[in-house]
Amino acid sequence: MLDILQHLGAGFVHVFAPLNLLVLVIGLILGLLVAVLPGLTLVMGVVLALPFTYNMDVTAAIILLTAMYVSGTYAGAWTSILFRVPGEPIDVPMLWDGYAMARKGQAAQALGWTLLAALVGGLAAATVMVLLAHPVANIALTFSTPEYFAIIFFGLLSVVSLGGSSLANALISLFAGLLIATVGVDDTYGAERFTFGVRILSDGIDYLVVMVGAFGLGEVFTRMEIGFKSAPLDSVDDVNTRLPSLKEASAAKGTFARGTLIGILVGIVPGAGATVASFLSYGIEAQYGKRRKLMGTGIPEGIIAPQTAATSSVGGAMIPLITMGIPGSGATAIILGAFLLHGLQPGPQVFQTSSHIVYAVFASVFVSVIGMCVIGYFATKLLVRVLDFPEVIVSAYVVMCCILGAFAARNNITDVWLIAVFGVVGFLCERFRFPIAPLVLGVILGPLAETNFMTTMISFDNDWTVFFTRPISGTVMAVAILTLVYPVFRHFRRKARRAPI
Amino acid sequence: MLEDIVEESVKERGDAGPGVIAERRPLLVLGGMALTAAYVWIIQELGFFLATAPYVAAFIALGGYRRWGVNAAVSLIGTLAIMFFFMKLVYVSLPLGQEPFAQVTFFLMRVMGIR
Repeated sequence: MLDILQHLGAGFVHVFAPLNLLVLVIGLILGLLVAVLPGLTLVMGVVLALPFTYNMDVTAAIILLTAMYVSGTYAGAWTSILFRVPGEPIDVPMLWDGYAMARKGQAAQALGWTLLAALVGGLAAATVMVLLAHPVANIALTFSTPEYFAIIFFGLLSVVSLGGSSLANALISLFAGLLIATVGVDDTYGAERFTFGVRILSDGIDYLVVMVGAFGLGEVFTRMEIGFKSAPLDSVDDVNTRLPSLKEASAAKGTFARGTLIGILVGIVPGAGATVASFLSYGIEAQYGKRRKLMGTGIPEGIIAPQTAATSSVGGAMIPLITMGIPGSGATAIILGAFLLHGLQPGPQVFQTSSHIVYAVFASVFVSVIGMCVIGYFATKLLVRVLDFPEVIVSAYVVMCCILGAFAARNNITDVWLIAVFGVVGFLCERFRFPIAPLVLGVILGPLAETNFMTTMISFDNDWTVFFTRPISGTVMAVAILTLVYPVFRHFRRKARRAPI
Repeated sequence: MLEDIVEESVKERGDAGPGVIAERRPLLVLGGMALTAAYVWIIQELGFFLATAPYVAAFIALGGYRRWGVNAAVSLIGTLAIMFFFMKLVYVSLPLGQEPFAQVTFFLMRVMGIR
């Protein structure tokens, strides 16, 4: 315990070094802006920031991306509440109570609850992250490849079943992603797969290329199809933040606790991120909360539940990333990319090899949460003004940054073409209601799953039952299969009920 | 069970913001895609600046923005700023272009004090 505090203290010293602090503040502001703009999602913002970190020191690079990730879960709520424009998919639940509250003339209170929720959720999750990371890493040290495979398998399935939309479409999307991940020379046997004689394809398709294309370019094309037009904004003269009193806040402590816990848990599950956390937390509050009957009419609980969960999912998602090298969400996948670009492989051994960097990143989460709330308290009015900026100009630069990022990564024009192709793929997915997240996750986790599967097969003489007979991997596999089977089972049960006898 | 909760809470409240799509413009998207493909096609030939500034300007115009002065300023200054940032500050090499277009790139680099 004392040990952890000591390391964390050193981490804070690193974060408060002038350059790192500057980078952190820039990251926070960028994250808030990205969150406010509906055409620019959080993950896309973090992807676009990645090339700017190529030449930075690894700590500064990770701090920048982490700060963006933290503050990106927050500011989208402002526009949901004030203008009924969710800045991020995360903030859709904010429309139901947040906007309703603003319509009752309590916009300032709604913003205050949002701030408090983000602060409490963020700090609590950061504390849990610091406390859990080292023990989890110690457990992970005992893991062998079957356990890793089981965890990744669970991550792949969780995003499918928690996606909310059509299960079949989510699975198709996931399998397409896994298939894309197989392109290139196979790691174990060196066989070329789907390379079609193109040299650059034998290196495989980098998941960053898929992310930049599908999230970045695809989203721009989607917005372009509707002509970059948004509905006219409600006019709001007075943007203030009024914090709730201690008494009001403590009356809702159950909601705070539930939201934070859900956020951390969803964050830890590899694959599911802030959006799932936010919807799930709102849903649970609406079913089990003390004032569930009033949810949707503009009560603070409807703001606290999604916001605490969204911000606390960041701390949760960092745990599998740092301790096992498995990204817990889209944004952490990019942070993983940044680690790897700087030659650092996150995993259980990272606490021995580079604990100063890890604790600096941990400390930066605390500073980011507090920093974004301070900036939010004073600058909400200023930051929501970016909505007045013509979206088409932002989009033009988003496309340019996508292409630039692709080019800068390997200095190869084929990557740029791939981005363009995945941009079209992303657009078509969105257009025909295939979720993009499972596709991207398939590309990210596919190679990890394959390597661990193949290594297991080699070390255990092709005995596939080993995934089910080892206690930890067996449990995780069982949970994973349940998460997939249950929705299918429910679907047929409902159908059977509806069918005339 | 978890999906139940998510689904039901979302179904109850259909409001996902003012997302009602008035009209779709497939031609505009095709135009955007073609423009982007053309940009990628030509960037190594013309170099970063000569390809990007017209691309950004054309994209903004295609998107229906009609204030030409603002468009010109935004595309020129933005492109130069990004070029400066990447080449001078983070040392990422951007396409220089082939002769004679490379001369323009070299001229701009000299003016901005890169290398």
